[in-house]
Amino acid sequence: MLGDELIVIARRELDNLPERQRLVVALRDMLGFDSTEVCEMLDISVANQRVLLHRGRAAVRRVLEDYLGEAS
Amino acid sequence: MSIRPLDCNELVEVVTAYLDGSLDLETRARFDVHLLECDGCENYLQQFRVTIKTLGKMRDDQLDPTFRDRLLAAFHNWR
Repeated sequence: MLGDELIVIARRELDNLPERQRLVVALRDMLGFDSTEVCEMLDISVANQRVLLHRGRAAVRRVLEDYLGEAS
Repeated sequence: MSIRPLDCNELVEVVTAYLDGSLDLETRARFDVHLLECDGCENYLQQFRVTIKTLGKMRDDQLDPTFRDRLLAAFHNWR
């Protein structure tokens, strides 16, 4: 199923992210914590949290786009 | 008064703030106006939504155990 394959690809890319991006993306998008909670957990600023989240998500977006581009 | 839309580069920079609902009203309006006129950025935003949804479907037993311990540590320190 396409959805399951996407999850496998997303997880592989998550594992490749720099550690802090990986933590922020997992806490926010996988585990569902909000921005304030993640800032407190990792002791980082709101702006820093957003940059790490953005870079991490953007990397995952890119591999999913590549995969979907090849599949279609 | 007409709203000046963001350009594509500006939109990319603030997409995460947009999805978090943390943009100021004016920037949000400029974001939305740009989306109306740019299929590329509409598609880009949609890809972010798919990415977030896909990450949300991952279960924690699929994670590398060392990394899972690190997540748990962050969680326990916080509580």
